[in-house]
Amino acid sequence: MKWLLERWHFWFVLVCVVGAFRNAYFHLAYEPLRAAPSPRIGSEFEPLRPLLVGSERIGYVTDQPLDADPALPREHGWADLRYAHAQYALAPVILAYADQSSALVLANFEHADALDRYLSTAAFTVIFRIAPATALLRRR
Amino acid sequence: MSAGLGLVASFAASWALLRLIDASMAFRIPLIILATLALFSAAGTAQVLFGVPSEALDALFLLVALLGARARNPARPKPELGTETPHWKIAFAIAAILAAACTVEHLWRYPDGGADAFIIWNLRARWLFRAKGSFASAFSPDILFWTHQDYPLMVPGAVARGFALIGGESSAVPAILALVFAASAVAIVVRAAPKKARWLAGLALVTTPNLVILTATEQADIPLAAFLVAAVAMVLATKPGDYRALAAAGAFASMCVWTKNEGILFFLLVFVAVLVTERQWKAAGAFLAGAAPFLMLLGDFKLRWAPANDLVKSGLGAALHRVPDPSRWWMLIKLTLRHLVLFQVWGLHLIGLLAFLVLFRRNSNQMTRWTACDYVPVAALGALALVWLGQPYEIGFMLQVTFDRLLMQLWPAIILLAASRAANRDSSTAAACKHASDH
Repeated sequence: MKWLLERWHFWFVLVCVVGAFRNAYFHLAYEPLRAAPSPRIGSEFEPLRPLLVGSERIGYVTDQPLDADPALPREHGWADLRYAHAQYALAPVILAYADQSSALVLANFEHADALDRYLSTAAFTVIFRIAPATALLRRR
Repeated sequence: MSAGLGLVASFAASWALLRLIDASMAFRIPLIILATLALFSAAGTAQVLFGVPSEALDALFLLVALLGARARNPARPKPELGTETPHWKIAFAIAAILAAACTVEHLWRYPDGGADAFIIWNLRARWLFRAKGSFASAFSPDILFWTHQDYPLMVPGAVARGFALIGGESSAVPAILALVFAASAVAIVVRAAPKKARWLAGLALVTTPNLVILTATEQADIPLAAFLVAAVAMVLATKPGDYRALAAAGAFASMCVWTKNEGILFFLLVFVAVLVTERQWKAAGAFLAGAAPFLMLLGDFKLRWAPANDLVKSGLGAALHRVPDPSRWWMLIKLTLRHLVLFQVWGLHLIGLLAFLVLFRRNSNQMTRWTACDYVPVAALGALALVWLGQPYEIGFMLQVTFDRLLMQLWPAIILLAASRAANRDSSTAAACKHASDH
């Protein structure tokens, strides 16, 4: 045992085996058995792309705050991710956060009833409601 | 068709220029692959951003290839002395296949990559591919700041040209590029390390969990790591007065600059290492000449297109006030120690490296003094620590999201340098023993 511990080969192999085992366990055992399948990022927004041809910039509204000020700590991860999914799908159309003055606005809400309340008060008509809480709107 | 011709022209120029350096074919192949991808990407971006006709760039690359092919290449390098142990080679092959299988599994399961891949890199690639001439909107301040409109365009450019090559957007393009960049980094480490340590170095790299994580999530940190290790390997391989190798080192260091903002730091550190090692203006000139095309591309991009970086905008004075803050230092030390033992990301590799450095230091002698190149990752980590301390955001959050990826950018170069030191130490110890026994 003492001979083994004095050999650097032993420690080197240990480091490599542990690393390889971590990779193999996580990717070849845990993920195939336990990880939930991931839908394509932003696929829910794909039906909107034909409606936005020719638009360079549209508004983006939501019922959750986003991290929009680089001077403040990041604390709205989930809402940021929802914006990122939409922007990834709809590029090169700019999604201008909180801009309600654009002719077209993407309302990407977390809760459907919040979107309904927004529609009842704001001056928009629904062009395409792709999900209960997500719709492309046009200013009246 | 034009993207296909662009790929061929980029390859031809890379092959012709890199055949002029004094290196084995096995070492040159991953360098040619990296250079091809860099030229392919940059040419596509130059076409979109600056309106340069792709045919003109392809013709230029083909002309360079023609001239390079006609130039006299150096004599074939002598085979390296030393022995390879076959069992380490077999272990490396098994571990490399395992790492590739793990990476492919994750890429297959999550074809859009990790968060930064679709928030930054593949988003910008789609913008390049879809918007073409009206690409300027990608830098609009209306897009939320954390999509980092100021980041350079090496990876998005390569992905967008890949889309153009196959005639449409496919998640296979960024996935294949991620694999190619990672494989190139590994191949450079293996081929640039001294013969007796090359398979050990490769084994250490391919069993690093973070290599698989960042490759499988299509982060730009792996391309940056590949370009950095290529630059470091070229500097290590440079013989006195070999200005072609230094120009190649400059070119690869400048590709770091065009990949991520922190590449600017790495470029400067490699340049300083060249200045300290060579101590000649001609050497510095050769390095800068190799770097010039990508530096000009970055300069134009930063001056004309990219919005100001949010770290730079926060001001140097305010940053200097934050640096001495003891609570920031305490957080930096605490989280650094935590990441050293972060098993999910690093396994035991960082602890193993620290043990190696301590033992190596204890047993080293004058003949194995560290070179200027050895200090590149050390100085980079020191500079990054200052950036962490001085940046305006909450330091715990910043370390959480950047520590592992920044260290991974340096990791292949660290392994290559450690392998080179260890092999040199063994050689010098053997020479010293032989010298003693002769007398």
